Amino acid sequence: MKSKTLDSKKLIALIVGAVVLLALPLVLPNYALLILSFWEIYIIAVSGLDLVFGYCGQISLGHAAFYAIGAYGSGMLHEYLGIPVFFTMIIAAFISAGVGALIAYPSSKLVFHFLSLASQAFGEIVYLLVSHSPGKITGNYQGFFSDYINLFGFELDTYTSFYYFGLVCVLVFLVIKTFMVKSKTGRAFTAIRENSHAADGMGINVRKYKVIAFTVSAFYTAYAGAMYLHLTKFINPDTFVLKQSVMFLTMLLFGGSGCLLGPVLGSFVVLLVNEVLRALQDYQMFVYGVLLLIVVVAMPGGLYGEVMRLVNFIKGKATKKAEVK
Amino acid sequence: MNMSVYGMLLVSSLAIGSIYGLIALGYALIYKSSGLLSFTQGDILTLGAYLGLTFYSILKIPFVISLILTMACAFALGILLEKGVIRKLLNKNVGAIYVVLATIAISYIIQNGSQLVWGTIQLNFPSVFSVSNVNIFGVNVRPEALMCFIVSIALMIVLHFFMTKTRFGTSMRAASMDSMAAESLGIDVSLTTGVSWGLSAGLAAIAGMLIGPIYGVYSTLGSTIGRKGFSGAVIGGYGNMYGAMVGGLILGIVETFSASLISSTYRNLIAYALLLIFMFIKPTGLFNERAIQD
Amino acid sequence: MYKKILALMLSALMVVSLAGCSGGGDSAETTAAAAETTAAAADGETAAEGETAAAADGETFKIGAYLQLSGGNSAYGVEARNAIEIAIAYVNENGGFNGVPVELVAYDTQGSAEEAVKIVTKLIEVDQVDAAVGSINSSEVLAAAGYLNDAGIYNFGMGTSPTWMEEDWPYVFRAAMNNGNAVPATVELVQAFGYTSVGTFYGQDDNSLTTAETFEAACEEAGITVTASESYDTGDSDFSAQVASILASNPDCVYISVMGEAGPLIVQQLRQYGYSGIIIDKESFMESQIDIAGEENSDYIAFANPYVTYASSADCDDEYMKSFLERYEEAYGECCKTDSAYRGWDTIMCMWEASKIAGANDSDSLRDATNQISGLQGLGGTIDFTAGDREAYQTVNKFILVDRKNIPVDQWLEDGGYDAYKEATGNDK
Repeated sequence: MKSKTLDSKKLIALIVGAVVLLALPLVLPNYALLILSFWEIYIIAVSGLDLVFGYCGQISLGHAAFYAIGAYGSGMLHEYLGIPVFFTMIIAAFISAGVGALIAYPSSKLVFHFLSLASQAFGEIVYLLVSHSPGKITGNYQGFFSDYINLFGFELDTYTSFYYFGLVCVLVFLVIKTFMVKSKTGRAFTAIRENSHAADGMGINVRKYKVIAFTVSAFYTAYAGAMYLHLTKFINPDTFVLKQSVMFLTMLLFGGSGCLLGPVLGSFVVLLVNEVLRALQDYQMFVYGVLLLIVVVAMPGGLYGEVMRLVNFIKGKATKKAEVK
Repeated sequence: MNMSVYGMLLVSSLAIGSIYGLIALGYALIYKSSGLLSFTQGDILTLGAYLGLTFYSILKIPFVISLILTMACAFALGILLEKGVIRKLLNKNVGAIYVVLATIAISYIIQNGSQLVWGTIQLNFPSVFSVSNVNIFGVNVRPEALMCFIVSIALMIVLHFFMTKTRFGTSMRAASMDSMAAESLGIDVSLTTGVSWGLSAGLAAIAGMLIGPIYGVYSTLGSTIGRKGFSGAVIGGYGNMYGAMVGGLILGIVETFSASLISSTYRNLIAYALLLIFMFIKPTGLFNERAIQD
Repeated sequence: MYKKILALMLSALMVVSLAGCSGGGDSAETTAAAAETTAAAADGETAAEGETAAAADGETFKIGAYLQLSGGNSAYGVEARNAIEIAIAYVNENGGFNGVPVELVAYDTQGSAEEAVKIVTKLIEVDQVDAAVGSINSSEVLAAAGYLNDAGIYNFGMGTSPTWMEEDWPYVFRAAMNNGNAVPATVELVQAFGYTSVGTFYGQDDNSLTTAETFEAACEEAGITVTASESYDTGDSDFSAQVASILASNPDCVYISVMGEAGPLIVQQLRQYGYSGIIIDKESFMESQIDIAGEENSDYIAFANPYVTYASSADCDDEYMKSFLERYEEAYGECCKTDSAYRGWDTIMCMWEASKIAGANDSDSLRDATNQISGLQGLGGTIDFTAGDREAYQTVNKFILVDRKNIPVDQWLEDGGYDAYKEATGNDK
């Protein structure tokens, strides 16, 4: 009985949420839609990182590399082989997944900190390769132009259409993520995160699952990278640096790792903070650093954790009040 | 190319290599004492260069005293970082990733803060010596480059004696080997950890002051060097003091000579490629330091 | 239950923050604008009578700027912004754009194309700027100027790379030099000294790379041999390997196409490795760079550029330039050290001139009027847009740096400078 009412309430909440999300382009200016489009991109990229970090407990400071492989891969497949843009995004994501597996295999024996060093070095190498490509096939520092996404003849040349397309992508990727973490693979991830030795003892092939986590994660982030290229139509290597990897990680930790909504919340707040700080001009990055430090030190549970604490706090008060009455 | 050019290349590569070495040495000290990675070393190098410039060039304090003052400031900053941020985080029992992220945040703060204080324009660090060139065995050498190498090696030796011959150094080593046991023997582990962070910050600041006169001072001076320092540390064996210095020097030499003899296009790739190769094939580094694997 | 509350809070937060985003931004904007307007109105009172009416209406001409203000090479962006600010103050003192006071909205791109895109979208949509000024970094202009063009907003870029002006963007102009256009003059320089070979050293950034490629191709056409071609990355500080390779190829002269912090270090290391010959630079070797490289190392650097930098306004003979430098010194306490300040000033002056010709402030009129500008006094000589390529400077001047003075090359050669150089350095070339 109780669960039934809850379900219907949930359904109503879902419908309201969906209507709000679908109606946003009608009321928001283009600029807000661009930011929301970036939000969608970051949700997918950060969700990918969450699989590696939040669920499997493996750190990566090199996810900008997968972002780059997705963006440049998709752009180059379209430019040189003439493949339509939407398919190039998927192919590029698969290529990135392959690279992810290749790099994850030898990395999987590294312990935490050294994985962060190795992934950072991998990120630097990909950055240097796309910025110094032989024959300038990536445009090097001069940058790389590409086209809008073309969905069977329909070109996504406005922020509104991209926003709707992104909404579908986010939904698909989040659904896949949900199924994945609830599957046997997801349980293996969590076991490895909690204690890799114990997981090994339980008969889980630790290396295999670490590689799987990186592979899927690379797919997610690369797809997001490809979305980025076809949203702005222009990229240059300076986007794909350590700062970007740190940004992904910041969004993840800010929102809360190892949950579905963490990346959604975290990427939104960090994007928003960046937009609000813009008015500070030269002081922007300095203040951003200070905020980051405060957040890390003061609320390491992420925003999700803080919100939950607040919810519990309010609930606790409410029950107390009820008791008094 | 004639021999004297090779000689000059060698001096340049030893100079930059010893800077990588000093940074890597700091990474080793931090890793040994608290089992952590710090991403602020490169930016402390920048800060050291700015502080040194302020003392030496603006306040006109003699170079050696400026060097000591800079080192002292950085030492205090290192301890402050450990006590004020890192220790706080560790006490909350959070994942090590938060420490990594905290050091990255501090690196943003230092880099952008120093830009706000000292401006965006590259500043000139006046030369320390009255001559601009000295001739050694027919090789034209900049005295500042030579100073880089000599001071770094001297610091390495001083640190070696400090660690092995002094009481405090011995307790630092004991604390890094087994902090519980050391604590029970009455060693103030919190103090030794703080001093380790202070020392590594001090080393980075000295490195900054050493290369300031060669490269000028600007807010991103230490960024690349800080990242490449990791490579030096891994080559030598992460956490090994001597390995750090040797690894840094090797990196400097390999980088410079391969750029000169093969191609300069992928010069910066070498440091990161070496890092990955060592991690995957010889993770214990040249000095067989067992730290990296499960 | 938790999830529901969370979802509710999330959506609430989202709505609030979105509202806060546009609303908060707007209110901040309006207060800034109000402050600006009162200032402008106060200025207006001392200026011509008619203008005060417009100022009182609260109507302003908004110029948006996307500039790199933090990180490596940000010195250029900061100096450009400084110059834009004093240029706007000057314009406002003298009646604004057709009586409308000018206001600046500037943001930091952090050297990132992604940020540049977000910023111009914000400038277009939220700040609703009337015109825009672009980054010193050509790559950011390349990423962002297309959006301004598509939105039909009159704008200028300040990067000097040939790349972005090759796009067909009728609303995009440049009041700085085009490094590509300077290349023929640079090749003439090499020939003027009678050299037949050159070693090139270039940065991997957009501007340095493109210019160096254009230069090497032009050299080939002119029959000049490129003996060695070496490169470095932004952020590098040790160039000994490349310097050694270039010198080992024994060229008649060395050409450098570099940017920012690397320039002086390369010059210094070239001299350190025993090269005392003439260095050809893709642009002027600026005051800030001489400080770092050392005065004695900076001798005999030749370049083609519209203008040069000065240690202070007192060193400058050109009347127009001197008045600008004095203005800059008065506002910021010291002289500008890079020529990006000149680009900022020239850009605003071109916009102003266009508004005068057009007699209106809308983008289409300004665009058409800019194409008619000719004979306008700029810091680098006469500005002329009538060639129709949207470039302000069609000609460049050739200089050589000797004893911290930039001497016109023709004059230097005439006065026997070249023989003096051979004598001083002991070089036969």
